[in-house]
Amino acid sequence: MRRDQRDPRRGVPGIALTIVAALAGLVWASHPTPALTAGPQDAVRQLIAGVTAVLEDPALQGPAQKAERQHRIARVIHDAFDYQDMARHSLGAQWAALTPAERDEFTRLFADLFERSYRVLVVRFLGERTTTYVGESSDGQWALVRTRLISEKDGEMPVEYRLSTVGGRWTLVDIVVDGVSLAANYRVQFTKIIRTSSYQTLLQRMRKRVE
Amino acid sequence: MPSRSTWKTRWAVLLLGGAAALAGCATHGRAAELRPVVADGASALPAPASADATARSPLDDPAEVGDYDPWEPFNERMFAFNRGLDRWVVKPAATGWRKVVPEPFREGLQNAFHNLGMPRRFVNSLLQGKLAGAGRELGGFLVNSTLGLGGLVNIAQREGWTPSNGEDTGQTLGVWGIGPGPYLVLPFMPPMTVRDGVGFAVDSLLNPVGYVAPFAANAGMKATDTVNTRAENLEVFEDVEESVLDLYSAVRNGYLQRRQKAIEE
Repeated sequence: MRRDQRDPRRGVPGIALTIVAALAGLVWASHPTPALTAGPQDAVRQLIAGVTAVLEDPALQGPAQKAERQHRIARVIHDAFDYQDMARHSLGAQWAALTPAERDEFTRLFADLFERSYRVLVVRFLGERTTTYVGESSDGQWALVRTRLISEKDGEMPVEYRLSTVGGRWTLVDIVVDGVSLAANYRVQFTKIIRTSSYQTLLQRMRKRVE
Repeated sequence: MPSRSTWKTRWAVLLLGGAAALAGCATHGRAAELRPVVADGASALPAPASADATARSPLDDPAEVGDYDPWEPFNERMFAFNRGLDRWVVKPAATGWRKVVPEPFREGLQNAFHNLGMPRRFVNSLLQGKLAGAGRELGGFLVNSTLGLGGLVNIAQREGWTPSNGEDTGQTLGVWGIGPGPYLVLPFMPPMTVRDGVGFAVDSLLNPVGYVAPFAANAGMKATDTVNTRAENLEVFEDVEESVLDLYSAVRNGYLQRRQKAIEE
């Protein structure tokens, strides 16, 4: 009881602490992007480190391991991109006409094609070239990370990564290889095929490529 | 520098469908410039339904304009012709060339062709007010032409000199504010716009070989350059084809994006 009676006096700092903790909790809970301590460049570094780790893994060397290597690289790339958003933008108005199941299929096909381009144009060189980070710019919602692939023999090639904040973390949405935005390039192709033929034709071509 | 042109050929070969080679490009970046520089023919379509659209995305660009291609039917026929030329002439020649000619020689040849492009890059660097770039071009040319055995060895690149941006007259006209005009594809030629076609003609006057060698010899050198470049990129071109659904529009958009970038730089 004595202890209880003394509690109100001792409780002053206790209440203050509780209030501070509650306020801190409120601040934490209301923070819109708690994971953004990792910046856009970190996201790009994580992607490149992940791909390079697979390329340099001693257990994954040689032609016999090519399929496994590609599978693991595809997984690393897939986790880094917001393919749903990319697919939606690449399709323009047609997206609105698709059912959820159709959107899922298109997104899956788009992701496969995009990964293929990235592998062909960039990933194949990551193991033997040095990646330097030229700079980054961001407005808080989206960002650009500029890199250069450098080799003594072939010189430099600029590779830019575009990112946006999704669910509180930076996610890649496009790659600009040697001045060419892959997302924009695919969008042009999709539009052309839909304009001159139909969405079904586009889908058939995508399925055929991915097979 | 040749090294740079080696990278470039990845897109250059694609751009041309294999019939010749182009070079030139670079990048930059500020927050205000994050959007795609050149959008696509899709811009004629309305924006995605807002119901499921995210608030904003770097892939959104209200100012985007389509690839300007009013002569598309003609261009597509010419593109098909050049693709046939590549398939039946250039690619087989490149495949044979690679079997016969050792890699170091092919690389040296690529360096030498690049070195001969110095007058074009030097003059256009000056015309665009890029004095440092002009200095690098001149210095690189002198070093490569002497210590680099007539340009066969890219000494400047090995010494880590900042690579050339491949300036040409089409870029200079763009920097001076002249618009690209319609996209244009002609037989035996790389894709271009009307503005770049004019620039291409002027650039041919800056080709030193044209003044000392007869037309046939000059054409032979260009053909050799084309085949040599193609030989260096056989696998890459095939892989790129495997990731493309409509080669014509992909090439057109890639070309226009790169030109826009090069001019902005």
